[in-house]
Amino acid sequence: MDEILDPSDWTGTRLPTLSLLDSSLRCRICKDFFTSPFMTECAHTFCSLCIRKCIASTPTSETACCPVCRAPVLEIRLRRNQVVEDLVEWFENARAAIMSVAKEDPVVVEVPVASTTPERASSSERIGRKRRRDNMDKETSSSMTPESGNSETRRPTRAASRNVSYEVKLDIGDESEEEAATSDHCNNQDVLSSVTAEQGSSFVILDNDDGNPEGLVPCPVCNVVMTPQEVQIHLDDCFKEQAAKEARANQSLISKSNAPLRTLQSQSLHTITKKPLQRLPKLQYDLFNDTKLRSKLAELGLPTNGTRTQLQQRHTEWVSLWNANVDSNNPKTKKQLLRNLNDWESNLAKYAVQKVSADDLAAWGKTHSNNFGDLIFQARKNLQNKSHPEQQQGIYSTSKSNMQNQQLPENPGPEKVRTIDGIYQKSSSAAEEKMEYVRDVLTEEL
Amino acid sequence: MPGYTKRLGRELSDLKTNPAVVMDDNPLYAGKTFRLQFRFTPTYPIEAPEVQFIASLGRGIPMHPHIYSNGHICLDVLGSGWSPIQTVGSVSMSIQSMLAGNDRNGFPQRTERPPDDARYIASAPISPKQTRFVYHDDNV
Repeated sequence: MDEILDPSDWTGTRLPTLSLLDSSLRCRICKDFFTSPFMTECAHTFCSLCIRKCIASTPTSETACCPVCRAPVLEIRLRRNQVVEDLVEWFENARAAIMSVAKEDPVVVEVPVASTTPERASSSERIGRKRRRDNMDKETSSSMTPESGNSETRRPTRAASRNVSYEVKLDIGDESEEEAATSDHCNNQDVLSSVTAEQGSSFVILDNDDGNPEGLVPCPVCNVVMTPQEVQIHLDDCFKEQAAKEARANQSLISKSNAPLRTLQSQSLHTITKKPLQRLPKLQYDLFNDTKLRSKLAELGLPTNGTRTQLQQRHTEWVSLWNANVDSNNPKTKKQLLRNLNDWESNLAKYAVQKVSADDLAAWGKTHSNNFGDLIFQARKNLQNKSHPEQQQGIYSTSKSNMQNQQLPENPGPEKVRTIDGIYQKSSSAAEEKMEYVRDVLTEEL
Repeated sequence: MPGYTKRLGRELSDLKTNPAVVMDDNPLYAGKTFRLQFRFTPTYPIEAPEVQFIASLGRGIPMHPHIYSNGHICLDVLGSGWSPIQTVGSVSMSIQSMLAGNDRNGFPQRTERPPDDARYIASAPISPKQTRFVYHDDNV
């Protein structure tokens, strides 16, 4: 038996308040941490399987209600609660570590806690901030590349601004060298340069617009300054080259630095090709006769033996299991689900066997008839020996449940009921009533 | 381990740490001890447990207009009013408060069993859950 983790684990540790966090991250139906939590319209959250089973257990969908507030609940209105799912995941991961810290000897840790925590916090904060900045840098640099690849309209202007600044400073007319310079800019995605370029772009362009001497025009693609006639000829080639260059740059960037991007893409591709699991609809069992229901179960790959109620129960359970599995982030295989269904059914069957044998009153009476005879014998003795009421009382209390459950159903005649009613009115104290009742039953029996 | 055993294990440890006890100031039951029997189905907690009083040596069945003399309890949370968030502790609390709320102490003829007690126990099923109780009197 694996260990049962409970919110009460936190009591007696240094962090007893965490038991509140612990218990609020648990489903109130199964008392376990949420597995694929779903929220009702009344904003209560349960495990997907728990709430689905709960709804399925009600006779009609209209009578289904929230276990907490009894507001009506519709299964199709359930919504995933992603934040809670993440919270549970992180808390579960950290729980053992926090627990071990919380269980440390308070005397030893008490003193440093007061003095070092602020320092520690600040240093960790500093680290956090630094890390955050690093991340930001990375993000900007990585986000730059796809953007520059995708947005055809913005990219040229940005590149233009850079180019122009280059141009204006160097004032070199040679095209091939220009190309080299631009490509250099493209590949060397320096954050600083991009930032300064962005900041200064408007000025540079303005400079450029104002300061183009002798009616020269910049190429709209590569921004090389030339005469309008030259631009006409140059433009076609420039477009082609630009496209090829961008493609090259993108490729190299993806293969070099953008590993996360690639996994993301492949993941999305994977999910697309894998075809998402579909939720199963509920059935209106009244519309299906036995053979139809059996074929429906066979369609789903479920066993088709058993009575009609068993078939219905099996289908309902399977729909709940299946749909909860669809909601799960780590869905089980169908084989595992079938095993779960089988476990559930064998548990139910065990219980049913016990229940039937207990309910079968006549059979129970037969098997216990010897005990019954003993009881009558003892009671008869007690009747003769009326001077010891304590003894009678004792016998009554041990045999009482047998008497009521067995003797009465055997002669449920109207006379008897009347006599018992009579006794009820006559007797005032409970003990007397019980004794008289026994006596009455016994005299009738004898 | 099926879900319901895990949940029951948790409930048991919870009961051990915080026993569900209501202050018993009702003189009818003060100082007395009663025994409750809980029977759980594999569908617990989606379905309610079977709960009844058990008479044994020194343990009687409390006199109450909603408790039959065979120990069956007419209480809505054990039947139609069940909700899966309820626990053994919360059910015990409900029953205790039901007993504590019995204010018919001054009228001996009314401190007794439900009006249909004799008829009910004559044909009562073993499991109280198979009975469809009619809740006669909401005042007690």
